[in-house]
Amino acid sequence: MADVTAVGQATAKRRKPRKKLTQTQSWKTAVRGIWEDNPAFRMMLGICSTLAVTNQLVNSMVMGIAVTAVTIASSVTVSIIRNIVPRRTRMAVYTLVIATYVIFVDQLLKAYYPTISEALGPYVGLIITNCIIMGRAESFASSNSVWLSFMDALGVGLGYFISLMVIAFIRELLGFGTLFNYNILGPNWEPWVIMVMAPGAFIILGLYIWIIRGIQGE
Amino acid sequence: MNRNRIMMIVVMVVVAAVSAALLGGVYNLTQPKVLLNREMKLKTTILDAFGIPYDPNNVEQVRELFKNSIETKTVEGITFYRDYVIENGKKVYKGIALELSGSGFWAPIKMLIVLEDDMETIRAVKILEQAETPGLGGRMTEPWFTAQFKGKKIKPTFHVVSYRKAKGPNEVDGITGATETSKAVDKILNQGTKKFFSIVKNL
Amino acid sequence: MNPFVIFFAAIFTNNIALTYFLGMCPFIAVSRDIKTAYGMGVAVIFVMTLTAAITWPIYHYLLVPYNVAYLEYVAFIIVIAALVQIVEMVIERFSPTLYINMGVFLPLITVNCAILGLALFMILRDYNFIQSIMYAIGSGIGWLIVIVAMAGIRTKLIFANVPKPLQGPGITMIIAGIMALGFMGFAGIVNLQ
Repeated sequence: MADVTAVGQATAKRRKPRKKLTQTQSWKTAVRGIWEDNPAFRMMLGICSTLAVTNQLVNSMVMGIAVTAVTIASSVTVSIIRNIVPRRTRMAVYTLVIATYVIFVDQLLKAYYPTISEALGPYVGLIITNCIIMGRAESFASSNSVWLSFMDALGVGLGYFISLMVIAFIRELLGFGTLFNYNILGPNWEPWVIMVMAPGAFIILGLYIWIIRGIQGE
Repeated sequence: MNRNRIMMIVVMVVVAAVSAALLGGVYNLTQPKVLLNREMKLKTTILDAFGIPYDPNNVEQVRELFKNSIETKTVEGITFYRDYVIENGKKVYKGIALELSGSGFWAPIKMLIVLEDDMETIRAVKILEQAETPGLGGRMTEPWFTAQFKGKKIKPTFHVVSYRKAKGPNEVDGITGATETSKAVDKILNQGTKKFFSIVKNL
Repeated sequence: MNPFVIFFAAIFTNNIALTYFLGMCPFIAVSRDIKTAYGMGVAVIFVMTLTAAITWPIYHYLLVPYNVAYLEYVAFIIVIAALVQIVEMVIERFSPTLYINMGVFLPLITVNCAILGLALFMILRDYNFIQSIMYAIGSGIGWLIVIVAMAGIRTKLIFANVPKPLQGPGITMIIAGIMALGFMGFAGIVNLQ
């Protein structure tokens, strides 16, 4: 009997305890992008598209997915080539990479989802200059492994997606009385058109930043 | 030229070349579909404007219908479409739709206006192309906006009214919060129809 | 369309920052003090004008005739990146203090969506060369006015009791919203068609 326990104990010591998923570095990298480093509310990146598309939930969803896809693709690519790109040209090279993926997405939308492409208008092309993607490429993907870059991009993309949706929720509800184009507030609701326009966008974003940062307790 | 400079240029050129090649590939793959979408959009909108029924999923049917019942003409830069049937071997025209365009708030707006035989009453207005602010000017494609035009009169002038409620047969309401786009539509309709009337005295 | 109307509209009624939401990221980051804001604004005017001047012929005489119009994004980005690099070198040479003050924000002009947006609008609206240049200068001036005004307001705000979570980007956004409301009052001054 003693032999068995001894062997049991020895085996237990040799086998490293499996880390919980939530403790792994990849998980933490991803989650960071959703809360602490949320691009729209904390890092103040990607503001242009945030203000433009968040007057409707549908457009926000498409933009969120598109930006996430491009961020992941770009970060992974940048991470792969990070050791070959000379320092001085890195911004230009990263921008080219990002532009390629964006045009890729733009063409796909134009061909297979033309109504959405029309609704998003010029803002699809402007994803190229969306500072989130460049920001992550420059500050993370250029100096981290491919897998971690992937997780970082995923997290940041998800964080951005969520921020777009919560802003759009308020703006579409108050500005149109609808959610996802379904009438929620009834026919007697007098829409707050200001919510659909530029000033409403700025102010709602400002208020959200106040709330989120208040919760995070700077 | 030292090694660094050469590397810089080489990397840039390689990345640009790969990018262009990839995009060229994607473009060639998707462009036929994009062009088809555009063609279908134009043709189905015109069929809609004339009230001709069609199956939106049947590309060939749309093309056939268009070929056999719509005559397209361009006179001095204005394109117009005429809906016809063949009676006793002759073309009998049933309606006319003008393709009007002009600059909008963001980009050019292209629209169709269908006129009745009296060349004055509007049967329908359809938007062909626009890239206005989503949720604001972009709402011009929504049925509530375009449906307003039915039965209104384009002569002597027409107004898309933004600062008060529209009244009378020569006015429609603009889009709240999209004054610039509404003004653009106003201008395109008025200028386009005036130009058309001045160059085509009898049809 | 009269180029001067385009110029005027680009500054007031169709302000690129307050009406089209372009150039927001540097707008928040660089509007902290007037001197840096002004420097950034001038750099933006310069880059915008040169961008319009260079990308217009590239699009109309190179991309379109050779049927590769879809490469416009790529071509424009390369031009902008190169221009910003040049501007950076020029500033470093002629005003080292400004260069240090602007820091990392200079290369960030490359991703200033206002610049790419301007090039894209120029194409989308089919402006001719003169109109494009006036549009670019006007947009740049419009952006500069807004960012300097914001910097002025934020400087005064230091003495106000802004709640901690609202300080910085939060209050900037709210002020931008109020400024946007104000600029909406310009609507209708010029007939843009």
